[in-house]
Amino acid sequence: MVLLGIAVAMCSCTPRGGDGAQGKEIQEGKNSGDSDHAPSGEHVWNLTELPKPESAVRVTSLKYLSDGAVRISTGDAHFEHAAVMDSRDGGRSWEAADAATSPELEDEVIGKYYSAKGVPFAYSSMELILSADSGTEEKTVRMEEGETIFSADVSADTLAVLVLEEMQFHLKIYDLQTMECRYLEDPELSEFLARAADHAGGQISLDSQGNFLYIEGTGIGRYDLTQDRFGYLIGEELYDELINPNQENGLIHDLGIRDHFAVKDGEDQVLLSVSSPVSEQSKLYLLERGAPKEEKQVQKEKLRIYSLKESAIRQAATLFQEKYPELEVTFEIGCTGGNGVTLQDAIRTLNTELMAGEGPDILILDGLPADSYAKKGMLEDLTDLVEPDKENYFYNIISAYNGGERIYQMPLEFCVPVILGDADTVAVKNRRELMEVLRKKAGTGIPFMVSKNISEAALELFITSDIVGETINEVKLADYYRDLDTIADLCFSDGERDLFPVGDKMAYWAEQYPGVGFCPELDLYFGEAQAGITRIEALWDYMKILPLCREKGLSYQYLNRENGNYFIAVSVLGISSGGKNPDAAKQFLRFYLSGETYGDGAYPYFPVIRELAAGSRYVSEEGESVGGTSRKHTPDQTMDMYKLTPAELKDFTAFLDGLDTPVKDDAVVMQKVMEQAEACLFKGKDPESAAADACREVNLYLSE
Amino acid sequence: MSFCAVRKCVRKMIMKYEMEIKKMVSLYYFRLSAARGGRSRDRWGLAFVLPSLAGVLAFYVLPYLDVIRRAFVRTMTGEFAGLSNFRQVLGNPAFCLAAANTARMMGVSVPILVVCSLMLAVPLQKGIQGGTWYKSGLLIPMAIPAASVVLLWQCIFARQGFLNGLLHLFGIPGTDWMNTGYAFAILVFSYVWKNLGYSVILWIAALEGIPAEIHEAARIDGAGEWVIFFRITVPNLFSAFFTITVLSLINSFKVFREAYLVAGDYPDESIYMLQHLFNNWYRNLDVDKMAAGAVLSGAVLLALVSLFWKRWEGK
Amino acid sequence: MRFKKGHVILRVFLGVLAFVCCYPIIFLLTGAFMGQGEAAENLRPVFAGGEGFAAWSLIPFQPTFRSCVELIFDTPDFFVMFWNSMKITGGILAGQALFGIPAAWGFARYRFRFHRGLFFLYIAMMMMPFQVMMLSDYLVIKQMNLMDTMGAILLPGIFSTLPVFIICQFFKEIPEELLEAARIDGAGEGDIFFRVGLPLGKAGIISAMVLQFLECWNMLEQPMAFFKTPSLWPLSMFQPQITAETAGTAFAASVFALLPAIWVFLAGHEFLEQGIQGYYSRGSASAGRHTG
Repeated sequence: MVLLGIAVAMCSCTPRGGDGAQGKEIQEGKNSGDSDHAPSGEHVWNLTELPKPESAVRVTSLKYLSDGAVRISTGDAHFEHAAVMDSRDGGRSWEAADAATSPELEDEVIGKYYSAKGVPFAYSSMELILSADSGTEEKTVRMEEGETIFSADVSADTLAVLVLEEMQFHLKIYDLQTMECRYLEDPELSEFLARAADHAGGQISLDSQGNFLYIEGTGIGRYDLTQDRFGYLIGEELYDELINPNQENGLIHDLGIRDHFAVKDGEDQVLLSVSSPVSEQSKLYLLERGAPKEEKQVQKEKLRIYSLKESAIRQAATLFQEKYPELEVTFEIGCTGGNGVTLQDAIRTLNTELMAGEGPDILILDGLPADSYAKKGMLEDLTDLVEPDKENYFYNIISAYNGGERIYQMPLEFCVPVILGDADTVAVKNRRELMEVLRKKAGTGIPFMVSKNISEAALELFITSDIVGETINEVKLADYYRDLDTIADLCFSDGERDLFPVGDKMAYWAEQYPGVGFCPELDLYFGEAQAGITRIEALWDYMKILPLCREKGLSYQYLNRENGNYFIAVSVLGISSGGKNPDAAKQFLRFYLSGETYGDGAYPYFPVIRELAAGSRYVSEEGESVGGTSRKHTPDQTMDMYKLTPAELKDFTAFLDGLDTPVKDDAVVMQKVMEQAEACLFKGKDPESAAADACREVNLYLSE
Repeated sequence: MSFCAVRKCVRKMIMKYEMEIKKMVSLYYFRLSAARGGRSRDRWGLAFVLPSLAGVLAFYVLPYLDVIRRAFVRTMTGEFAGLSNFRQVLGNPAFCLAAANTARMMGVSVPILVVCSLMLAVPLQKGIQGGTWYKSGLLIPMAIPAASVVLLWQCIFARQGFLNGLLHLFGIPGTDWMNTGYAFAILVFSYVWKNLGYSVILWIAALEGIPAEIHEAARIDGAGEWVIFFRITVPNLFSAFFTITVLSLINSFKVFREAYLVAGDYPDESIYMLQHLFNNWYRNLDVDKMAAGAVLSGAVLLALVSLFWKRWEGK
Repeated sequence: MRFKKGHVILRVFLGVLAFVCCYPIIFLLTGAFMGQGEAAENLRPVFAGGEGFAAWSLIPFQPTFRSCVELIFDTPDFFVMFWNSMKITGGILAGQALFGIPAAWGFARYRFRFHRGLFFLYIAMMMMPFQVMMLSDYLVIKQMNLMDTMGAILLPGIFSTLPVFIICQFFKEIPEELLEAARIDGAGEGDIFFRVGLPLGKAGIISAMVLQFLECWNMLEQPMAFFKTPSLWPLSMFQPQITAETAGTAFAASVFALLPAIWVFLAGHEFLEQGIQGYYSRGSASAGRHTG
């Protein structure tokens, strides 16, 4: 017994050293193992950004010349406006270089580079041409069938080419004097190359003597060509830490796509150029080996942002950190769902922190008991921050969400539940009228609503109704269930109800809320339904409705508008009054509201900032087509969609301006009501007892 | 912050107490020569207790006092609220339901556990073939972590779980047991199942302490087994009664964790207990109500325990 | 024994009871060794909805170590957490032995001033559930700068009053004559504690320690509240989302979490038996044995 216990304890001891919390120490072993001419001492690498040469947009090549200078060539994607520059001080300042012109190629040029001696070479996918130099003539190297050149470098008499063959990397070394070619077969190297292929690596660089070949992948590998040995210059974990800084702060800070790199002789400097996937801009970074920089010890002011679940604000936080590097921005997610922490536990921990005065500065209030926080005075008054600029925002949304008074909760995005259909349908003002229209149209052979739409419709109809006030109204709830039953009767075809897939039932939608909704537009367009209840979440959704209006004579309108014009607020932000850095928090809010964090792309919801829609890529003067869209099960039937003209955008903006009532979405209430709705519709429970059960459970909650 | 004030206050109390100790010690030293053993020995007791006491004061009494303080003030502002929190709590229907349920849970499960374990302990103590195996078997449920227990209950009692499958074989329709009034029975069953082994062990230890001669004497006098049990065995077990009852009461709190993992924040009404309510109040930052409720229920529980102490611990 | 028939009934009853108690273990064990697919299939009705009832086979169709292997080798966090649990449990038990046992002795055998009141205080401290104390505990721990360290869990655990209570009740059973005899022989109070009290109170100490082991091993709320960095989390927090697919891993994790507890039980049981036999075989069969 005792021995067994000791055995178990020992087993659990050993792997502890293996988990990679100490990245740098592990790299010690790997680093110092192979290299005999690398400088000994601190194996710490520091990353700094270098200024690019002026007027340079994209870096197209990077090389340490044999005289120690750094050569950089810049240009755009097609190597137009090319410029070549040298730097003598390790990349800090650049001057125009006196470089020979690159050779011409028949096929499209992929890379234009310089050898260590400054001799230009260029390659396409199958062919590489090295220019003539003093004493040597122009050399051409062709690849085998099936091989494409991925990257190449030349130094002294060695040419290294990384080729891609059937999704695998291979390294070929050419001796430029004899033009013999050999493949590198080292198994460790092959493994490294395979990983590099998976991780968007694959740039290579030779030292100026042509003895060492460096490959950038998961880490910077070093292949000794004279001894045919593989090792690491910078190990995997260390490299990952360097190029993905700020990961522990929860921000997204990938450096970008690594385009080119070069290693200096002596291996104490590495230059990297990266480009962002979206823009064409490149950035230059210098990795220097040396003692850790002292200035890292500076105490920065911290800004803590907290969100219960994953949120789009994380992007904004990353951009904010870039803009204000003197702050330290952290983004925490309360419940990632990965380990045993449930939503309730996360909220409890957050509350403890808030009440102990250790809380975060900014709270993303989605899913949190925000009303309780506001009532207890935990949120700062934001009115003065927002009201002066109210013309810039959909102030109706902001004001309505806070009950028309001081602003404590700031909704940053919103969407609108609507009803789609013909003139009669959109004229209804409440559910009763909807039921009348439904009964009138029931017998025409086309279902009033597509059966799958009914689940989401149930949810939307509930949250835009007045069933829940201070308490829940049992009579109204029973009516609601009865109406749902009627809808189901009239809209489901025979037997469909029993086969209804679980994943589309109401409780599922309640859980997903406010996630993606069902889109009945296409069903309406192709005449398979007469009406639909959905949400307009973004301009893209509106673009799907427009063809209905233009071509089919249908229309859209606020849902249940007798009680008000409802909207659903998403990404609600609050500034905690117990936070340590309220000024930085307000700065963040101002930054967000300036619209800088939005590009011209697609937003998942409507931003509360007004002018963003106009600059969106979905709006243009001519309203040109963006192609067609179709449903998964009928890919041949497509509906053409067009961009919005400014006039249409203005109409829609007026529609958004009319919103004045927030949906008060209480997760517990929604869940319970929808569970009973399911029981009512699919398990044959009668509406009264369903309503009674739901009320009992909800009243317990409301009475606390 | 008033928390510091409380702490200072408690520090003063401790210092006052230390004065007392010093007085006592010097007095005892003075009386040591006169007294022969007796009182002077009792200061040794204090020496044994003090280190633990220091820790308990710091980590338990202090937070306890803070909770009591919070019952009398408002959550965020800290202003004195007198008895209004208590009034609010007592008038809250959810609190009444939760308190009733908790009382019901304790009132049902603790006696069942205590009596059943005693019934089982008697024959096991007398000695049965394979008694060790039975005892080990009974102990095992306590080792299972709550998450696994929850997994089990889900597999057994869900709408499509094993129990319903079994009933289906007999043609009896089943239901989602955890979401009906049966949930209460399930929780009681789970509680007894878990704690049976330990209580049995404790009873056995207590039963061992009763000298066999008394039983022999009674049997010779012609008393039946049951008479012996009630008139002789039980009166000797009062102290163990107290221990096991208090222990069972404490363990009945732990039932909450399983109920919570299976049924969430708002379970069926029959198992909605005080801890659920406190949890939810805390989520809404209603710490003042939570503290008031805790003080009320804690006071009731303490009163109950002191009642048991008077009756069963004697002295 | 007198009633043979009664005995058989009793044994059958006990057997059934023991089986009911042990069945879950068998359930978990078989689940851990089932292939992922098989476990998922059997439990799909419960977790993923659909028709039919959940099924189970006592012996898995395709026994495999896969779930266990995946758990040990593919989840590096598992061992860190396991080790954390060990540290927490070991630390707390050691501390409780150091501080709690003497305190129990002090309460049991000595009548110092306020001893009743303090003991009652100890009992009262057992009664508050953690949810209620959480915020106040948090504040105290923050004041002491113990936040996010092992001390945040260890120190409150060490001073828990429950083991003191249990052990005290056992210490009370020791006949006073034994102590008097030792005193007459010239033993000091400390000697009495070590030589007489501890051995005789072994049953109580073991009982309390076993109970506390379980409590520490399965401690969930405190680590969740006081540990911010995941590297400190104990095993009880390793609860993967239990869906039909991960059921196999969940079972394997449960089994692993169980093993030390079972081991402690079985080992402790022997000591417990010895202890119980031990202190009742000492001392004479005098009438006034029970001092209560």
